[in-house]
Amino acid sequence: MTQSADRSEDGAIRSLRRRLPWLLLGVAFVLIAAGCASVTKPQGWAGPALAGDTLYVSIERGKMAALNQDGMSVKWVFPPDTSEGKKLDLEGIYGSPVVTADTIYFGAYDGNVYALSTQDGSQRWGPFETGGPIVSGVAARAAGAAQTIDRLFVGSEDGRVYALDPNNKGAVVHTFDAGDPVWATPLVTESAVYVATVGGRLFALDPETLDPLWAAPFKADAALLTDPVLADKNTVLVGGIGKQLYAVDASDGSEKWSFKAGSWFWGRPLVDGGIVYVPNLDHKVYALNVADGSNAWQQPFQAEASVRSSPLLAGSVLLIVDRHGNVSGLDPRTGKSVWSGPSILAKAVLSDPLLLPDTPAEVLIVAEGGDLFTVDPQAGSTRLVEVPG
Amino acid sequence: MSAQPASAPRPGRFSPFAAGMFLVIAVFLSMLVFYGFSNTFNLLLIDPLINALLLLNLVVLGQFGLAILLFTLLLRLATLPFTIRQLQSTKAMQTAQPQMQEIQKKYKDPKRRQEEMLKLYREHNINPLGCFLPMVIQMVVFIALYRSLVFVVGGSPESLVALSQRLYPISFLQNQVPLEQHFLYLNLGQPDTTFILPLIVGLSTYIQQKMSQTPNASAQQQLQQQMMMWMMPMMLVFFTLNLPSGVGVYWVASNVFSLFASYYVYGRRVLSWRYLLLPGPAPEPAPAARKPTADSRDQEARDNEEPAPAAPVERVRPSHGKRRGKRKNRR
Repeated sequence: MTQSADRSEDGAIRSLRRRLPWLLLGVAFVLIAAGCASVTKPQGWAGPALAGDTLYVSIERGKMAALNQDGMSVKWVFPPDTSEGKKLDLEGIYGSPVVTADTIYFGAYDGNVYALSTQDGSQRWGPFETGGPIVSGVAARAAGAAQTIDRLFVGSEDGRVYALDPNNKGAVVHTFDAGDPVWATPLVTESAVYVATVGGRLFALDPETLDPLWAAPFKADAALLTDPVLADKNTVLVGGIGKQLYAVDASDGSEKWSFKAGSWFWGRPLVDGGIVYVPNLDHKVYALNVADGSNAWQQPFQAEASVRSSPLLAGSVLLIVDRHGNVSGLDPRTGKSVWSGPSILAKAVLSDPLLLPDTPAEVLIVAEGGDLFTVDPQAGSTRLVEVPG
Repeated sequence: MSAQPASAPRPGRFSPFAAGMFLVIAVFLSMLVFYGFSNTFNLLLIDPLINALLLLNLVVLGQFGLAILLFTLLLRLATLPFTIRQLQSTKAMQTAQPQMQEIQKKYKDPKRRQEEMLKLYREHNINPLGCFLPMVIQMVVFIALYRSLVFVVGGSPESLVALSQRLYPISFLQNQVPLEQHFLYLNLGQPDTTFILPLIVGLSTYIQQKMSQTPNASAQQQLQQQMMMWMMPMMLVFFTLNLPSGVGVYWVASNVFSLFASYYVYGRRVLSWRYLLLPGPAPEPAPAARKPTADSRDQEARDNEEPAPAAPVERVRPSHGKRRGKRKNRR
């Protein structure tokens, strides 16, 4: 009798019983390894900023770069590729930078506010360390002269809002304990700083002291995620996970109206000519009348995927970029596409686009991973921008 | 002829359970074809799991760590009949181990040996595949929970954008986002770099495995099982070091549940340090030798007349075995 004949069914069962745990472990390993590819560490979705002829772009996870607009050559990258620079891990940059004549300010997911020289990317001061990751952008209060600021406001996941003096090495002037993480960039006006929190509250604070201005904050049902924006002199718009976009009276924090969509509001609303254009994660972009929140279009624009990027008006074209990198050009009066179809970048996009005002005007889009694209808003053609060096 | 237990499989006949399983598999395969693997996995497992976790999070007043513990408890209670059956089957296998070895030595014909083994299984109410279902469920939940936690407490704003696409349109579920990520000293969305949780996972897995260890006939099988006994915890330690802590919390809670189940089935013996540290499974006291049936006596007699090759399980053959076989052949 040969050995192979000895392999009975019982032997097969015992063999399977022995090997199954290994098999399952192997399957688990493969699936988890496959899943790891889609696990996202914080990547950042900072939109680019333009000052003079220099673009400030997060071209790589946790890195800020200055690029010459002509030719897109790299002026500097922060953190630099030095032994000191390699020790820094910003983890991700979510808010667009604030740029003055000589300094660029931004917050990073490592919890720090950075102030860099626009000339060479060296640190002017700090960094200033908050108690938690910074998902919001830094907001600045303009001083008298052009391109100068005298106060920085930043919210952190530690639940505090910090007022920093940019001209005194980022010294903390005041803090405000919001009680919940702040993920939205504060809105700064002459008379108030508006801060939306993950706890669903909207505060109006005195810009000098950070004392609350309203008797009680505005309270939403769920987390507020969008950057608050002014719709008119007396209306602040903010939205979030509760699927509602709220119009809040800027003087007392009472609700003027609200609009319910299919999913979360996370993209910053764009206000133009009495209409607010607001993206939603339900794959739609809505146009609402600021006065009463009624629909300005017959029906919302249906994108291919969820939309977090803020809409952008480029001349007579309203530019929409969805999460899968489909770019659409709309007529802002009707919401109908003015191109034959969406232009496809084939890259995930969560950042806000930037209008490059040269003639002819182009729109710059930063995709996840740092790839740069330009879009011709009239024709809808797109171009991948090569960054030398 | 011994009475067949109700749970024993009946060859050649489909039970309603088996028919249901075939239906489920058919639907699953159809979905795979139409939606692809990833979408099907998400639709059937990830999305319901994410929403169930959020519901449980609501029940435990926003403590997501407690929600994971509650989820583990409910899942293990739901699969408790399978777990108990598995443990009982393992216990019975340990009890029947001497008889199994006897059968393997006694019957040289594979077919005959298989018949005797199946008889033994029936007598002791052993289901040789009984351990697979709980194990498969554990692994599938492990993977699904890992993927779900990446979305729910992924620790990055991007994961929340992705999460928004997976939530059912129920306000009280959605309004809980973002969830509280901290539980004890852990950040549930991040791996535990203190090594405490991975070590607890490894230790509890070792103990749990030790309790449900099945006996093996050959030295080689025992060696493999011993290797598995160490490799599995080590791999899980490695996984836990790289996965969100919430997955480790689930695994530890699940192992603790298994500990109680083992105590229920095996009694105090599982709490013995000697039992846990011995290299192999502690053998049950050998029962009285099984009485041979009339059929088996006849067959045994026939077997003894047949040429008998060396026992395949025993790698070290008696030096006279082969010669004796040849001599019989000559006769």
